[in-house]
Amino acid sequence: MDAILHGFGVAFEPINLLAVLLGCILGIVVGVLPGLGPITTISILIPFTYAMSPATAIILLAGVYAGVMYGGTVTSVLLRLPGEAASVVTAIDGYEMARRGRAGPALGISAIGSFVGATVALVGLTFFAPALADLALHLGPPEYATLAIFGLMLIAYLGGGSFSKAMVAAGAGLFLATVGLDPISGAVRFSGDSLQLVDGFDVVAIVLGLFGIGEVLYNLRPGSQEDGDTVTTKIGRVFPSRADLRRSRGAIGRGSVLGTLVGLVPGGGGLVSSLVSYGVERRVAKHPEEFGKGAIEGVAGPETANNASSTSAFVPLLSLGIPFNVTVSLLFSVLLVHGITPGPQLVDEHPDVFWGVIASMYIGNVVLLILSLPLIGVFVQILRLKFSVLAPLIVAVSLIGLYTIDNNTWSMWVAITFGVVGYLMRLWGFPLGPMVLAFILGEILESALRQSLILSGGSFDIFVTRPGSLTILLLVAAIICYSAVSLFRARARREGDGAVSSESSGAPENGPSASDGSAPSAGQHRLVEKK
Amino acid sequence: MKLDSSDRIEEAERREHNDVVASLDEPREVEVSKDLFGLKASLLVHVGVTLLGVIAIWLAIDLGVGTLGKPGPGLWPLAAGALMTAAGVATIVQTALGERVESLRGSARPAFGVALAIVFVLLFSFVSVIVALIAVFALWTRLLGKLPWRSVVIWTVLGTAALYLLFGVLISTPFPAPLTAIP
Repeated sequence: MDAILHGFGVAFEPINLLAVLLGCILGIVVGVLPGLGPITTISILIPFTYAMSPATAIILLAGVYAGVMYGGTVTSVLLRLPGEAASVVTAIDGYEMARRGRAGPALGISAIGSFVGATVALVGLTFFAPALADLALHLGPPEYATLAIFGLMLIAYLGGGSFSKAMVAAGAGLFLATVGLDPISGAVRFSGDSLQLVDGFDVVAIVLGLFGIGEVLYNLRPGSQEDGDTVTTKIGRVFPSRADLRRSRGAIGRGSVLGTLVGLVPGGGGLVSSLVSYGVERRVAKHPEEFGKGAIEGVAGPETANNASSTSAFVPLLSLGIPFNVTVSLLFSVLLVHGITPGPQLVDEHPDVFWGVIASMYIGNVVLLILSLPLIGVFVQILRLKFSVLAPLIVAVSLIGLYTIDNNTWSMWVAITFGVVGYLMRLWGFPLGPMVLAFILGEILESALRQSLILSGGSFDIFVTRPGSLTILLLVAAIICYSAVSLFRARARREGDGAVSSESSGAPENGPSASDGSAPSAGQHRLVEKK
Repeated sequence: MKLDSSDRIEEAERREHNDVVASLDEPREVEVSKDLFGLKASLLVHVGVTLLGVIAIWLAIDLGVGTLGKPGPGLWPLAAGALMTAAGVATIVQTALGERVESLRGSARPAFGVALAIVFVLLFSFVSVIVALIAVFALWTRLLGKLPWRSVVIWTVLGTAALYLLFGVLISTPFPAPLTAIP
């Protein structure tokens, strides 16, 4: 109890309160803008956080993350254009509610559900993260190695699209992570004559390139731009009626628990949790035929679940030191830049960061509720900003922001290169999330794996003789088997249908990757409901 | 059964909602067509990706793999390259079985976007941050955004001023080139 009170002491420092407020507002604004997701925004902001204390930096970025999750709902409901991936599901019934003149209650119930879901997850985070951190102190390199592999596999599997393409992306990310100094022998790897590459690639440059510039390029394709979309929907009364609240309370309750649990699973945050919640709500609904035609439960459940899961996704980061989604992995990188290694020792060695961040998330949650309901009309005005204005802004801010990291133009060129790579990957259906996550997890994974092999004298037995790592490996094997069986079944079904479905091509328009967390393009959201 | 006023309002709302639901059409389906590569081009994409994995393996072996008990610096890159290659082969098989990737048709505008980003970095590095900002905003909004000249001027001035204030004044970034250089 003292610990969380200490956290509130940190969170109530004026600079941290300002960071929460700024983060939430910025998050909602960005969430409203199609084409900008939490990953891009946080990447753009990372250079600005270098001058801040670690706690303030994470508080600001966590505020952005929470704000984006809500802001994405506004465009989902009003334009059927999800501002970020997790709001794709909301677009189905939220937009239908808006067409029936009930945009206000749809946005209102989203805000309420988001608040409840995030609060439930925060309570779980408060009690569960320290306990898990205690447990994690007993884990050795073999468990960490298998846990990181498990995380990568699950993220690739849950990411949607082709599993093999996700594994190609993960392999590329792991390889890119090896460029620079070998953490164990000190040898320089794959740097050529480049002095910059001795330190390896900067994660911010890669992420801004893949997600920021790559996203802009992808949206430049004919038919992808959102220019011309204008807000014509009348918002009306925002507060849901008692009947709406009565219909939604079950969905919000289920979404809170479900989202909290799904967020703990690697790759489970955001889209996956909202998809699962939507499925559950449709199954338990008294009137399932209303789903897809404006059922408020179809908005309340998924919105609650995606906010709960994005909050509980902090549990593995703060307790194990292993980020299980791309957005959280960026926060992991920020902590590293500030000289803090996230992990089981974080709660004891840096209680200001650990408890300060958790306490600020409670405050941010209240701030979001207060801001979102009365200011929905104001945020909607942001939608009038055209993508053709936003695009050069994103490119210029990203590139100059990268320059400010080390006052060198090298990172700018890296970002442009990875922008092209990101564009091609999206075009050809290779998910970006596994690549970035593998890049960030690569060093943990390599160190843990090599330490394990050194401990065992080069024998892989160490991974199967320890109960923890054996259990995790069995789960990995189960994922691979299940994936293979699914592939063959899908193949058999396709042959039966006699047609090649576009889904199997793994092309990105089939819906945003759950692990990417990237903002879906105009083309993506339109196809989602066809699935 | 007597209803109180709030229940009556709810009942009316529910009825109104149901009426509206019944009066509307089914959710609209929007068709999005995609240009897909043929078999050869799709195979080429996946063979290329697989080759990257093979190159990674080759580079890793060249670095020195060592043994499992005494891993060399190339052991882990070898594993990463092997994963890329194996998964790449799987994508080739999937392509041979009928899967296709999207074609590059429609990539001219993204290519122009890349060119503008390159121009921006060159101007930023060698001429002036202000010139770079003006150029990227004006060219992007006019040529890619097709905005009218008035909007181009407004957004260029606003964007340049905002970013210069943010990076030049607020953060005091030491720009690589003079601020006011004339191109």
